[in-house]
Amino acid sequence: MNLSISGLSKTYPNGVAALRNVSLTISSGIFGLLGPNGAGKSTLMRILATLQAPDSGTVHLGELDLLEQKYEVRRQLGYLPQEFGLYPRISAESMLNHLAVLKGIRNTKNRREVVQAVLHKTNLFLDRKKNLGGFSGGMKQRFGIAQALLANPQLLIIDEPTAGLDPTERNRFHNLLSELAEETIVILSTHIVDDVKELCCDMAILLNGEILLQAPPLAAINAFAGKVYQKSIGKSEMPLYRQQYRVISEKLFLGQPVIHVLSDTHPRNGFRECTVDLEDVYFAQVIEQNMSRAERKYHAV
Amino acid sequence: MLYEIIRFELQYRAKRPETCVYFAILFFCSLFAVNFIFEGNLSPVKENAPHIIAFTMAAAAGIFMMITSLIMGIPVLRDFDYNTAPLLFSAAMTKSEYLFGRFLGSFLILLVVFAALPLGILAGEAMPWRDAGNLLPFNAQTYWQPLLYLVFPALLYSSMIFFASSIISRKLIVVCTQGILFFIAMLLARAIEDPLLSAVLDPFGLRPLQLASQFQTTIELNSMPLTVDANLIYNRFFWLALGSLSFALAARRFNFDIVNSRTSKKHDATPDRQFQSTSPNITIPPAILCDGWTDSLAQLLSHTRFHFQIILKDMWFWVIMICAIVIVFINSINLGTTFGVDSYPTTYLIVEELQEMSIWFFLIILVFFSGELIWKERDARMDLIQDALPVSDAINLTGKFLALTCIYITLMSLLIFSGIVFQTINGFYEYEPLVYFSGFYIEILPYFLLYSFIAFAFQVMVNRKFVAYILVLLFLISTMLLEVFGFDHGLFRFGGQNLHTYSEMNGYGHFLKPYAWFKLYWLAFCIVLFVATVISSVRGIDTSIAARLKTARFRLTRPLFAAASLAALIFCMSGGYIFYNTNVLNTYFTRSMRHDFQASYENTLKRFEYLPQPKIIAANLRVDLFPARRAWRVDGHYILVNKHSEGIDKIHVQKLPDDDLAIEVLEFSEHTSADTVHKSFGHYIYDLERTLLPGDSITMRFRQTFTTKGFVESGSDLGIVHNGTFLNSDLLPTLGYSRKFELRDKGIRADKDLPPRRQRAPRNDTRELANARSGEDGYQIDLEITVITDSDQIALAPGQLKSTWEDGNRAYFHYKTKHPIIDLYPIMSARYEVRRERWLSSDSLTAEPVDLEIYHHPGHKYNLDRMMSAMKRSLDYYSTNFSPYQYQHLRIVEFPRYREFAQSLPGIIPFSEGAGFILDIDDETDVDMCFFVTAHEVAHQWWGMQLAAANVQGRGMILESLAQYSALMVLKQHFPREKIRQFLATQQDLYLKGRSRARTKEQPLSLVEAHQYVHYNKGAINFYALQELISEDSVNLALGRFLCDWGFGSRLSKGRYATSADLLHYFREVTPDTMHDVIDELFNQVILYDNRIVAAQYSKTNQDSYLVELELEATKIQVDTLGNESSLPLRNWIEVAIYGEGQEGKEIALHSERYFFDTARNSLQIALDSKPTKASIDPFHLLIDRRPENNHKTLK
Repeated sequence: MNLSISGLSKTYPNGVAALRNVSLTISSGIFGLLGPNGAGKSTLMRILATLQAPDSGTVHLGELDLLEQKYEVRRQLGYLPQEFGLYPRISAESMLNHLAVLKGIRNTKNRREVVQAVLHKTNLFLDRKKNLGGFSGGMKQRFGIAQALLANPQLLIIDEPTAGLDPTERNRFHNLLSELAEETIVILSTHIVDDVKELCCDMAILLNGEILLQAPPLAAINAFAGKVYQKSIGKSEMPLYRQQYRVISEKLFLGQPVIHVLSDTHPRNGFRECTVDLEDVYFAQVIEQNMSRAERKYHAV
Repeated sequence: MLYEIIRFELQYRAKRPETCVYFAILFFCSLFAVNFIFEGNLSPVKENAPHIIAFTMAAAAGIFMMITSLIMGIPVLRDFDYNTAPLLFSAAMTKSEYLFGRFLGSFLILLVVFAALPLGILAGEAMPWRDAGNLLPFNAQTYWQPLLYLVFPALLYSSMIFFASSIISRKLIVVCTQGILFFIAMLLARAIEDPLLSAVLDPFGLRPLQLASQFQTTIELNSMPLTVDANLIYNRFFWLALGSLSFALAARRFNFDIVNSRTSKKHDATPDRQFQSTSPNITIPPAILCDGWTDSLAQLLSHTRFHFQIILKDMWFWVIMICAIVIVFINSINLGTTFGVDSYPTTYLIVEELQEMSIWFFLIILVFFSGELIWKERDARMDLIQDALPVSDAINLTGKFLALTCIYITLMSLLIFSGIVFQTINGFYEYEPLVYFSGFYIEILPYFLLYSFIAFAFQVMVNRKFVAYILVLLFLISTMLLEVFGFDHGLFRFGGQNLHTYSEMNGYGHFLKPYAWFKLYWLAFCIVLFVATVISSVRGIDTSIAARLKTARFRLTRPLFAAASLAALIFCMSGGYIFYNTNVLNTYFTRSMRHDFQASYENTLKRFEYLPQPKIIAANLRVDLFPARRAWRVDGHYILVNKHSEGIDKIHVQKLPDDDLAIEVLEFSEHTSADTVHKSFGHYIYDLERTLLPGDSITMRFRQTFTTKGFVESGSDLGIVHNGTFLNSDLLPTLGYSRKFELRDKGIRADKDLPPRRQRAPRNDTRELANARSGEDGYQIDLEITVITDSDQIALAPGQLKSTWEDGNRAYFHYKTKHPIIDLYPIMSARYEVRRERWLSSDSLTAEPVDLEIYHHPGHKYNLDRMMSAMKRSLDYYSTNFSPYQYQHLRIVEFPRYREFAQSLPGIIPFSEGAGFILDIDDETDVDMCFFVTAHEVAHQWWGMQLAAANVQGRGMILESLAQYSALMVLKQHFPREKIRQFLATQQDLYLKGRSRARTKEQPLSLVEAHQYVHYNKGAINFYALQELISEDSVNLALGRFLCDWGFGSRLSKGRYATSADLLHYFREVTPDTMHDVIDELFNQVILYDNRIVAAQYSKTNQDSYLVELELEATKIQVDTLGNESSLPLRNWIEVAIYGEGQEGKEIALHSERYFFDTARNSLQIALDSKPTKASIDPFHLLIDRRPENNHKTLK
């Protein structure tokens, strides 16, 4: 089953264009939606979660029109919002149980099995009787995953899940996701490149409401193979390098700036070729887009 | 810095739209405030009288406490909500600067907002619906006084408390709802009996106002400024102290830190387990998804249960529940009656009390939890998860609605449980589960459900929780206002009528059917509204109403559409059916149509009022009652005689202008031609071909039917009901103009350009002197009547029961009077049980035995013995002291409690279910009011039946005061003196309350018009005082002579009926000349006293001898007809009593003597031979005193 998005646009009343003519085709497996804060990721995710109507465009989940057949889509949907709260005075188990009923799992035995299974999966089993109000940030996030996993979702929409997690928790979360993704479309939005690198078989980069790139991470990396060079430079030299090279990233390594530049040929001058990272692809895309926008602006003037 | 913070607050608030909205709401509501709070019926108290304005302002400040709470609670919360707290608190600012700055800034804004209150009230006076005649000229003091003493302190202390609780709790929910606690405090304060405590604890200061004004008369209310008495001062001081204290405590506890320490601790308490699965091999089993309608139903139930559980875990729910129950038990379910005696805690009385006490709690739950439920997910920020679930909007909202329903049911069940506990505690075990059930689940649950639909709709459509709260409140108020303004047809007024009073005799009777139809009609309306609510509810993040309305069309699923269409169909059809019943089958009169009719009746026909008409001397009737279909028919004839000195050409027959009544046949034994020009008034003029000469008679034969057609909007007939029919002869055709149809209300009469109407004609009005009632049709009549009713009922009418038989399912009762009776008699029928006894006059050689019968509802046996004994003892006393009893029977007949009175008619006493049958008299503590009321009614067999009074001023003194006197003498004969004292104390209290509520000037007893507080309450006191002064025998001697001269048949010989002047003449005859001024004082003047004991002490002079020294003060005040008071020189005999401790600690009188006082201040020395405890001046309350409590003093 595929999720196909075509020509999706959304402009908010205050004039911000969150999505501009976004088209994507997503199949089973984990799909990473990468983009900086404010790129329109959450808007896209909410549209896919049937919570917001686009101004134009269509979305289909298999045969289903996601914008019209909301109920049918919701029956196959698991959604973990970027930010959410929980009823404080309800235990994890009874909350999941209730949500399972609302997702249509009526058979009591089956429901109990499912709820227990997701509790085990998210390691909340021992805390299942505890009130949600007493949950820590990580536990809350796990609860969010647990509820999204109820009722065999075919489409799992996970918005910035790792934002509040520490590194170990993040790893374990990734393991869980990859386990699930075999027959499910999992859409994972994040601004952390590593999330995508580690998990996703396909990805897209979203910036200012536009898709800059859709490709499997490996293919994207390969496309840049041999084009990225790095150099350790002095702090004062930055402006100079920026003028002369297409600098895609600046990082500090032991307090010294290290820059990555994009170049079809070897720039010499102390640069050396480096292995391309997904991050380079991402920054390269972001820089390119910003430059082309700046150019467009310039031309318009 | 402080100044800066205040300035910031002011600037910020000035720009916020809420500030203007609050101001606007307050201003708008204040326009209506006076009319709303006093329900538009104040006259003759002016609508801007100081007390009225003060009460209105204090009440409004209380009602709008939520605004105070929001304004005062938000500022600190805002800093936390918007996460500005860390930035602010790290700035260079001290804690006190921060707190005081925020507080003062907000408080200033609050004062500005509440300036709308006086402005709105003032502007309201200029509104078109206000009548300048009901207003006093503007007086600034009227406004600044309550602002200073009531509104400002209330705002200040409540602000301090609200501010304090918001900085401690930091929860919006607390801020928004804490006002409820004050409301509950007010209810608690009201329930407390001790006046000072009750006054001090009332947070809104209403109770001190009520106490201060309870004995004030209209004139005092209109002229005196707000009473700032000790109660009020203590009250204000107490609450301000409480406010300051909580502010100080909160300020001390307020940590200038960022994270609320309590919640952060909670997080630490939970050890964080890692993400890794405990059993990594587990796979999630496939879920079996169901999608049938039964599955939806299961979802609905689960959702309902879930939300119900959430509310059950809500602290506020339990606060409200507990308060409701506490109120019930503090108030202790007041079963007191106006007689000062409690009723048995029968289930229906308990239900009524519980309903009354709990209504506010239900309203709080309604308004508050409807918002909570709608906003539940969003408040918990779970809305995105919830909204992406495959649950239909209908299930979501319906589940919440049902959860709210469960809440109502829970509270109701809890109340029922409390009621049963209360009954058990009181040793009453006749629980009636069905009455409990219907009283809550049928009478009031539908009401709250309908309003819950409205609340849901507002919450969803407006999509702002607090705005919706206020709109729901305004909606509630506006439906009440509609009623005040007379747009009260249940088809327009949301929710329709309440269910009519429950009666043990008649159940809900015929009222249930229209009630059910109206509720069905509004329920259908609400379902359509609910569907609209569902399809426009917020789902996802597009919350603008435009976006929601755009998608609403798609969300109208087929089942929803079907439900809405069906409901719309039911709405239209039930509406049509109701309209057909109320407006087609029956004529619907709005209030103003009714007034127009009455005015035009008077304008057109008043000229016939004193037209000579023949008098009825005999009536022969056959009355068919059909209780099941609420119909009756009368066939019969009157014999009319011309008792005037001139001939009569025209006979005016008046039918009650009631559509259900129809005269089918009306013919005379002489040739007549009917003039039907006034048919619309039910007034027919028959021209006699041959003049009816003086002394000639004519027979009037008629058939009149009463048919119930469908049901009416309101005011359905209470005469004929399924069980407990009580009809009066004035429903039959009458002769001449009927004064009782005239408009009575002064203001309405003025609007219709009608002259002022006197309640009673002056004592020199010769035309009314000839009438015992307005438009009397016969002086003395012979009555022969056959009443036919369903065979399971017994029918009653005056006269001897000649025979009774059954024919099929109909029972026949044939009554015939032996002696003529007055032309006013009842016809009654119900399923009765009968208690029969006999009474023989002490003069048993000449008198026949009298059959005493009580016809009562089978369950109502509690007080039959008391009634029976009262009947016997009264007959004994009256026949010995006044004159023999005139009939061979005396019947007490119970009727449903739709009307609560007892009435005496010839040989028959209709006695309301609610007026004595269920009194729970404790012989230790209570006066046996059942005995008293029975004795009073039996006395009317003399005062009213034997001797009729002229229909002029003072009529009530002859009929009612003499009945009070007679009953009191029977009471005195058979009960200890202490009971008399208790009785008189109650009478004095009722009199003082009555005169303070009176709308017209107070008349002395001999000129009383129709004021019960004068002829009943003051009558009892003054007649008792009279017999104390001139002796019981002298009074009875005078009354015997009065009866002898003005009794039976004297109307024809004297040409008129007796007046109070005549009665006073007989009293003077038996009073020594020196005491004639006392008669004058008791009956011709309005006199008040202020008697008190200034100081009282005793000393032991010897073994077994004590000397009591008293300082007494007595003032006599005369009240003139305008209500002005002036002091009179004192020349009175006043009783002074000393009490001591008798056996078993009971209080006994050691000394009681009348002393002559002619100076205001007096000292007395009284020697006693046992130890005194208490002294009283005028212990029997014979001199009416507005401060009776200072008539007693404990001796030291």
